[in-house]
Amino acid sequence: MNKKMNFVQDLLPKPKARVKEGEVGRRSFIKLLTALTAGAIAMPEKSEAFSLDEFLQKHFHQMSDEEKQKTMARLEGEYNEKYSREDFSVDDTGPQAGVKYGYALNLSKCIGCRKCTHACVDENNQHRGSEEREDQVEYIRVLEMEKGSLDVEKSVHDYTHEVPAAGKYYMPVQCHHCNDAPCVKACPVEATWQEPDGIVVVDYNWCIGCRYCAAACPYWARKFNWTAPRIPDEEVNPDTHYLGNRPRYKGVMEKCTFCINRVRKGLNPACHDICPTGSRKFGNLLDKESVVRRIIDQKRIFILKEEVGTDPSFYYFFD
Amino acid sequence: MPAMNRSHMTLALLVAVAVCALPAGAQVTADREATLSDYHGYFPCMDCHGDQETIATPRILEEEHFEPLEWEDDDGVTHLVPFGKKLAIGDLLGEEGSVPTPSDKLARIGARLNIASYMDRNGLSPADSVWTLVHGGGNLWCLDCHNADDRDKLVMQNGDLLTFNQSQFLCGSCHGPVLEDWTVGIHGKTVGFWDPAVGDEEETVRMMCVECHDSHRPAFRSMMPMPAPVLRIDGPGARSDHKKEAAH
Repeated sequence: MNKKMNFVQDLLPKPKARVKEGEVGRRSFIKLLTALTAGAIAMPEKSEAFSLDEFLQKHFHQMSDEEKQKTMARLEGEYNEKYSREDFSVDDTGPQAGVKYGYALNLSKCIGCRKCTHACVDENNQHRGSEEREDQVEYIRVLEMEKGSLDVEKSVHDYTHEVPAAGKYYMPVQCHHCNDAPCVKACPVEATWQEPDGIVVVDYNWCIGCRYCAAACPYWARKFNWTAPRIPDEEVNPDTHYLGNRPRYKGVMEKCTFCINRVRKGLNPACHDICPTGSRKFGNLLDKESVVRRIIDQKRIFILKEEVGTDPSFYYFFD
Repeated sequence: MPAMNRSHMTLALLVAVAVCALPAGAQVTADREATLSDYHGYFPCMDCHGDQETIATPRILEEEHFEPLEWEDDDGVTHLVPFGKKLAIGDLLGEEGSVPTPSDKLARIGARLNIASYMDRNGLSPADSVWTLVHGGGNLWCLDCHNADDRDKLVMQNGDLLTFNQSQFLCGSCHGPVLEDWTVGIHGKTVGFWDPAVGDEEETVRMMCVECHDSHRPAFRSMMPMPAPVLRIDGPGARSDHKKEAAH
């Protein structure tokens, strides 16, 4: 009995415990049941080679360093086998102290070329969809907007003409990494949370695929894996992070992580570096000398859907 | 009557200048089929450069370059093409530049300057090329930026000479606020590291003005976008699908 209780305790997904230590609250128990039931249904489809280790894997916050290392090693093995490679690395680099990421996008300069969207797909191992990659999963949606209007209801997402078109401007929208994120509040199993450096992440092994977060997000930033993601072996990016661009499973939610595998090593996100116009600016909001802070200080910035009170880390500006 | 004399002299000078200038302008506009010899000497820069599509952005407008291109100089030192190395502002003030000059470029491609034969061979007429300078709304011409005596130098309005890796100061002499923004990183493209503590200066690339803007035609060129997403009928983007259906 004791052994069983310990097992249950270990499985409890509680980064922020709402019950006293040692107790299993009624809500937690219901959540656990939900998670286990959903997990039992979803798990067999998640991986071709289903393993007990994967089933018993803890929440990311509850894993010890040793357990994390084991998990990373297991995942690397799985991915190497799946994609016929030997160079997969699954990283779990944590946040840096004194760093909070911010993003600024210059709407006066963006020409709507969608290079960011496609660089993001390549960097983050998204589902490529069909051979023509028509139905690939994309984190960035570029909206073609009428000049003089901020009405996203009238925006066009699937323009195919030469850009920039006369009388239009372009507004790329992606995860805003909100400081009061509705998606995080909506998750019933706490599979998504905001890291101390401001990045909102998903633990793909903990997500039950209920899609409440997608419904809660006002920026349409969360994307769901309706099918098992298809990534050709030669296109896969082997430089991955556990909370970021490691290959996902069928039935889990995914989203922009500011390229967590890159930014935690000091690099810029892929969308930032590919942008041909230099519209995208990235940096540390806590550093007064950073370009993002300078933009906030000096330019006319605005927040998309400010009225919903999500307090994003993503700013748009004109100059 | 010294004042009168001066006035007459000024008037005479103006008339002389106008008389000299008019034939060139008249020839250009009236006779598009004029031969090279008619124009020789009037448009020295465009004689060489006007016939070609001057593209100053070899790595940005080409498709999908994550990594900057590199080239090796005669000493075997690797540079980013053509300007990309991020230089401290102090370095940019130096006399010696890392940016290749016109002479460097000509030497590298093994070209020799022979205007007449080149243009005749390619069936080009200078009249077609005169108007390719789309910068300054007609208020600029070649020698406002290029130094007449030494083509490997640029020249400021006050006569100061600049090397080719100081060209941003020349741009900034008209576009001051943009230079200010560029200096602190707000304007322009940067590739590499957000974190100055990690980013090695050699690996972080700050693009200079002429890498994104063709200095002879600075407006950013339009391009075809990457493929559009497929919109689900019930998704938030379905509106434009509906619009299409309604249009049919």
